[in-house]
Amino acid sequence: MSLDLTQSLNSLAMGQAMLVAPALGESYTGKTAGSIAALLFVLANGLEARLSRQPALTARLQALLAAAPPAARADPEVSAALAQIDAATKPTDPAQFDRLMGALAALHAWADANDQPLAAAARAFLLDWATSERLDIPAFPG
Amino acid sequence: MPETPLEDRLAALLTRLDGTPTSVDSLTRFHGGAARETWRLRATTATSERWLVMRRDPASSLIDTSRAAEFHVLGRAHAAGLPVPKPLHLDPDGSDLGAPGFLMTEIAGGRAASPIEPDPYGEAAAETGIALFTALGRLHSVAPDAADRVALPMQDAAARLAHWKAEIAAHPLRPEPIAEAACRWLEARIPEPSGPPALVHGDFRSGNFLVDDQNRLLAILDWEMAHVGDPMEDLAWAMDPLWGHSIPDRVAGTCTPAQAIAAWEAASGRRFVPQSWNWWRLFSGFQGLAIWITSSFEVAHGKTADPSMIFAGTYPYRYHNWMVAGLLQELSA
Repeated sequence: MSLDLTQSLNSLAMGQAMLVAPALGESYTGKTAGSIAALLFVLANGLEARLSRQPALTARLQALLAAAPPAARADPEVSAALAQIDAATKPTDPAQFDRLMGALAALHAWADANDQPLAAAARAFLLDWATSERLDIPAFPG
Repeated sequence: MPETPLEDRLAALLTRLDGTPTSVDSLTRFHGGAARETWRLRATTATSERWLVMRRDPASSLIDTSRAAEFHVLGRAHAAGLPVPKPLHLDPDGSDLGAPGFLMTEIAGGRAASPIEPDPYGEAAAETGIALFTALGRLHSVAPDAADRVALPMQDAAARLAHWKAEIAAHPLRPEPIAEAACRWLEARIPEPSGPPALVHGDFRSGNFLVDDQNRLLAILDWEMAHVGDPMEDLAWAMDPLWGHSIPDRVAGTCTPAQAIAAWEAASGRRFVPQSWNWWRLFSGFQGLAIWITSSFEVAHGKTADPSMIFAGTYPYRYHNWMVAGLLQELSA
């Protein structure tokens, strides 16, 4: 087995922090190198957990859209957004996930005006998704 | 034609401004400050030596702002006795500096906290915070005059919301269902003004002020988002948890919210308006999302590879998405 994504990012961050940044010192480029190291550490922190949660969240998003009531589907904005979803593309494809989120945005807007339980379901999904995507600041190596 | 070296540009400008031959050296760029390039320089004449700071437009920026507005409000704050650098020369078209910008004095010996730095103000944090929110109150005690209304945008709550909504629309990258939902909530509940219009800093938060080695407030920086508006906006942004250094029950990593509000009220002569606080809290997150979305757009379109812009589109964006989604849940309950 090779390095996983987290190990790769952490190793790149360590190299940037311990090899590149010190050599460049307190200069603009040195501090920029330090920033890149910090960003890599942040991205690595919890990466595998974030990735592992994605399939379930995507399935929940698809179910939410599939349950859209006929009145919502008759709305031009919702209808157009749902029509963008390509049934042949895997939902984990980034572009397809964007189309699903675009449809949710349209459905949520309709629900805010017309269907409070559906609006609440959209808000609950968005909070769970944003919680899953949120990055935590790790304790940086000294 | 080869570009004139920046040191030569600055030397020519200072020679012209001071009426005496001036040389420039030790030119170094500060890290951070994604809205502007910020450079430190030493200007030397036959009889004097001084350190100055130049701010000018970068090739790509988090936000599109006005050099003239920033220069103007810096002068107003300096004249009011606030701890800010003294503005010296505005170059609105870039003919002197190579890009629109300005020169100001340097306030030496300070440091600005990084947003991801844990507990940056140490044992003096409460004193730092009280000084910070007192300074903010002093700014808000300055009544905008006719010149302010010419130089600065007049943006009340509705105008600020429209401004950031337009910024998001102008930088379409990916669907933004949380920002859209927040905007709908905010548009339906525009608050009454909290009082007379004030000079609003627009980006008043931890990281945009300098402290000395005892964590005493030295200088308030980064005035490029200043406008005339509602001072509740500055309070909400300063108290936004993103800038809180992950310290519960303290704002800006400094004092408690009650201490901050008391210091601000005492210095400003204004009253905190709790009825509109939820609106401004959510607005703060929405404003953040607009800034981070703009940054992401610039990075995604190859206009910049500045790590501060990449960071903006990564950590703060996801933080504010989470915070705003939570607030929408809370406010809809």
